[in-house]
Amino acid sequence: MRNGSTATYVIMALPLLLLMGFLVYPVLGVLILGLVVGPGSSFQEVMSSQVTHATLWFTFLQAAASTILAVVLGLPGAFLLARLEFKGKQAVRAAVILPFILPPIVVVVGFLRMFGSYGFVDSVAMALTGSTESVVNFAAGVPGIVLAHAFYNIPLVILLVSAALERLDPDIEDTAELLGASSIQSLRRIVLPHIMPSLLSAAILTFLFCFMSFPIVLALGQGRYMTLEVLIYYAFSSFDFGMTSSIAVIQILILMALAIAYTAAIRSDKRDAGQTSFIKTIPITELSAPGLLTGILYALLIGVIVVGPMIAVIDSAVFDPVTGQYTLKGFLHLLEVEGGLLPLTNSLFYATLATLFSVVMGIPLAYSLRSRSGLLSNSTSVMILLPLGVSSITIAYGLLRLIAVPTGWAANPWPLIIIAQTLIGVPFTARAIENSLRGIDPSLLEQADSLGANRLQKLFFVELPLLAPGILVGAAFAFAMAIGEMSATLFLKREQNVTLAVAIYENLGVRKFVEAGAASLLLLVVCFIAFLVIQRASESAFKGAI
Amino acid sequence: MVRVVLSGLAREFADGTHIGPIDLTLEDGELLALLGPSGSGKTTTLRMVAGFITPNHGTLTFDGANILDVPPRDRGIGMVLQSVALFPHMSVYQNIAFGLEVSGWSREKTINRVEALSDLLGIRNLLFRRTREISGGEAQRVALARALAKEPQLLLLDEPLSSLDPQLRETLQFEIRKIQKELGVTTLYVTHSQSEAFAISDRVAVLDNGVVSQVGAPEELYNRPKNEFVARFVGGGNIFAGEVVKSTEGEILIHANGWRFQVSGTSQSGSDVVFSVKPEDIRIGLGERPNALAVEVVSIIPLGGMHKIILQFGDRKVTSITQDEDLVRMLKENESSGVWFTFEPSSASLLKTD
Ligand SMILES: Nc1ncnc2c1ncn2[C@@H]1O[C@H](COP(=O)(O)OP(=O)(O)OP(=O)(O)O)[C@@H](O)[C@H]1O
Ligand SMILES: [Mg+2]
Repeated sequence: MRNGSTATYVIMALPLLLLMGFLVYPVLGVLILGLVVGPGSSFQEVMSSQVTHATLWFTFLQAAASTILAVVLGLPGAFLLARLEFKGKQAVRAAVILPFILPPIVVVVGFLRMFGSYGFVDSVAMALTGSTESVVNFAAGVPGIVLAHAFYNIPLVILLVSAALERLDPDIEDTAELLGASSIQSLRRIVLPHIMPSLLSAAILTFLFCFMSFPIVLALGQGRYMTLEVLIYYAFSSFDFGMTSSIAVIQILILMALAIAYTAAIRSDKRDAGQTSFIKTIPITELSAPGLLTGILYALLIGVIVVGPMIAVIDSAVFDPVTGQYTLKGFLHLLEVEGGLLPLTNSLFYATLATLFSVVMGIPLAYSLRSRSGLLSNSTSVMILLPLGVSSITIAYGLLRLIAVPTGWAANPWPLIIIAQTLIGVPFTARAIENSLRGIDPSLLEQADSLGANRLQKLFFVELPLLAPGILVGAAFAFAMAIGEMSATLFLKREQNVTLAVAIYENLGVRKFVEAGAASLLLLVVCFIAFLVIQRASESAFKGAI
Repeated sequence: MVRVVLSGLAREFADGTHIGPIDLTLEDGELLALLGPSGSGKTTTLRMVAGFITPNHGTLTFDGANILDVPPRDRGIGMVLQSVALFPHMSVYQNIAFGLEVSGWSREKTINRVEALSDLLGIRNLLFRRTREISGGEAQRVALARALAKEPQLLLLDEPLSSLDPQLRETLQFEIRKIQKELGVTTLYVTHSQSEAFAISDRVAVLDNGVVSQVGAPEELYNRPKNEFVARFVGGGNIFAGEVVKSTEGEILIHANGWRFQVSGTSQSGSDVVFSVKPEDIRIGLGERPNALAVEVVSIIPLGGMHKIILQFGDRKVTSITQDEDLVRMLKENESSGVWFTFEPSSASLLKTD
C-alpha cells in the first residue's frame, strides 16, 4: 500500500485499533483494576505469600528442566537432519512442525495412554518385570510435565538449529579443516558459534512456552504442581482479583523480558545468515557402524517421546482403560446431543469465525509490517509479539472483567471466546502473509501499474492471488490454534460454550477416558489436515512461521 | 617448496558427471593457472588436490610421495576460495591466527607471525576489525594471509578475485604474484578468465570438459594453440576448416569456404584440416586487388587505441584487430570499393582435430 491515501491509513490502522481495544486495554486495565480495587489480596500480601514463592520457583524449575531436556534431545536431531542424507528426509523435515500445531490437551491424552499407568510404556515395563500392577507412570507430576514440554519443544530446537546449520557455508568448514582444526576444534570454534544465536532463540522460546504452559500443567500436575498461569486461574476462580492481577503482573514482566531477549537473539541470527550453498551431507549408507547405531537409538528415543503420544491418541479413542476393553462408545458419545455434539458445534463455530477474523486482520497487519513507516511497522510487530508475552489466561481475564461486564456478554460470553482465539491466531496469519508478501516481485506490481490497473484492481487481481498461499498457511495455523485452544476458553466459557478441547479436559477429570480419547482423535485429525494444508501451501510460499 | 604431480586423477559423481583423467605437473615454486569455462572441472580438480574430494582413479604425489591417503589438514596446503569463507564471528586477527592456534603455536609466536603477514599484505590496521566491517578486497587479503599463516608448501586459489571489480582485481593479481614469488610457494590458481591467467602465471593449463587440453606458457598457448578449443578460448582466434588441395615443402594450400589459403605446416594432400589465425594477424585492405578475398564489414568496435573489425566471410565471421587509424577511417567512409583480408602463411596455426 504505497500511496498514502486516507483510506489506506484507515484500513492499516483498524486492526491496530482493534488490538488496542481488545488486547492492550483489557489487559492493562484489568491489571490496574485488580491491583488498585481488588477485591482480594494486596500486591504485598501476594508477593510475600508462600504459595507465590513456591509457584514461581516451580514455574522456573520446570521451564528450565524442560528447556534443557528439549535442547539436549533436540541438538542431535538438528545435526542429523542437517547433515545426514536419507530416504524420506523431506517428509521428516516437514513433519517437524506437526507437534507444534497439536492442541496441548490432545497431547495430554496421548501422554496418558503412552506413558501413564497401564499405558504402552508401563505395559512393557510390567511385562519385563512380570508384575501385574503398574510399574512406571511418566505421565504424572514433574516427569509428565517435562516430557510433554519436550514433546513440543524438541521439534522446535531441531527446526531452528538445523536451519542454522544448513546456512553454514561449507567452504568455511573446509577452510577450518585445511588450517588444521580437528573435528572437535571445528565444532567448538566454528560450528557452535555459528548456531549459537539459533540455539539461544530456540532455548528462549522453549523456556517461554513452558513458563506459561497451562493445559499440560493443569492436567498432568494433578493440582499438586502449579505454574503461575495455573495459579492465576485458581486465584480468579476463588474471586481473589487482587491476587489474580498481582500474579499476572509478575508473569508479564518475566515473559516480556524473555520476549525481548528472544527478539534480540533472532536479530543477531539474521545478521549471520549466509546463502545456502550446497550443504555438506553424508549419505546414511556411508555412516560408520557406531554412528549408525547411535542414530537408530536416537530415532527410537524421539519415536517414543514425540511420535508415540500421537499414535497413542488413536488407541485411546477406542480403548477404555476403566473396563480394559476396546469400544466405540467414545465416538457414539461425540454424536449425542447431550454429549459431544454441542462442544463439536461450538468448536467449529468459534474456530471458523476466529480464523476468518485472524485473516481479515492479518492482511493489513502484514502490510503494516512491511510498511516503510518505522512507527507503523514497529508498533505492529510489538502488537503481534504481545500474545507471546501476555498469556492467554491473562487475556481472558482482561476480556472477562473489562469487556464482558460492560457489554453484558458475561452470561453467554461466546463473542469473547472468538475474540480470544482471534488474538491468538493473528500473529500466525500476519507473519505468514508478511512472509509471502516479502516474496512478491515488486516489478510485477509495477507491471500491473504500467498496464493501468488501479489500486483496488491491483490488490484483488494481482496481489491477493499471489498472497493466497500465505493466507492459506496463516489460516490453517490460526484454525489449528483456535480449535485446540483450551486455556482462554476454559477461563471464559459458561455451560453452553464448552468446546471440544474443554470437554476433553472435563472428561479426563471424571475419568471418561474413551470419550476424551475420541474427541482427541477428532482434533488430531483436524490438525493433521491443517498441517497438510500448510505443507501444500507453503511449498510455494513460505518458510517457518515463527 | 613442493612438486605436485597429478596423473590420471579422475572422479565420477553419483549422477554420472565425469571429471578427468587429469595429468598435470606443478613444478616446485611455480604458479600454474588452471583455466577453463564454467563446469569444466576446475574446482573439482582443486578439491581433489586439497583432499576434499576423493578421486576414483589416478595418483597424486607431493615430491614423489603418494599423498592420497593423507587427510587434508596434514597436506600442508593453504587455500583461498571465491566465497572467501572468512570465519564470520571472529576478528581479522583471529581469522589469520586460527590455523596457528589450533596447531598449538605459542601466543607470542602467533602474534609475531600474524603481524608479519599483515604487514606483507598491508592489512595491519584491520587486525581488530570484525570480518563484516571490511571491504571485499580487504577480505581477500585477509583470506590470503590466513592461508599463508602456516607456511604451506602448496597454495590453492579458487577464483579468489572473481567477485571484485576489474581494477581491484588487477592490483590484487599483481600482489598475489609478487608474494607468491617472494615466498616461492607452489601455487595452483583456478580462474575462468583468460586475461587473469595470462597476467599471473608461469604456465597455464586449459581445462576442457574435465580433461587438460593444453599446458604451456601463456605465449605458447596464444601463438600455438593445439586445438580448436584452446584457440577459441585463449586466442579469441579465427577458425577455418577445409581440405588440403596442395602440399609443398613446409607449406600447404587449403580450400576452405570457397577460397584458397596458404598456410605454413605439413599435411597430406586431400586431408581435412582446421587452422586458426589470431585477430591481430588478419590484415585488411581496401580497393581492387586480384587474388584477395572480398568480404563485407559487419561492425567496427573501438577498443581504446585499437579497433576490432568484424568481417563477413561467406557464412562465417572473421575478426581482425588493428591499430591503423587511417584504415579504420577509410573503412567507415568506404561505400563502393571492395574490402579484402589476408594473413601471412606463417601466422596460421594448424590445429588438431578430434
Ligand atoms: N558433488 C557433485 N555431484 C555431481 N556433480 C558435480 C558435483 N560437483 C561438481 N559436479 C559437476 O562437475 C562438473 C565440474 O564442476 P566444477 O565445480 O569442478 O566446475 P568449475 O570448472 O569449477 O566451474 P565454475 O567455473 O562454474 O566454478 C560440473 O558439471 C558440476 O555440475
Ligand atoms: Mg569452480
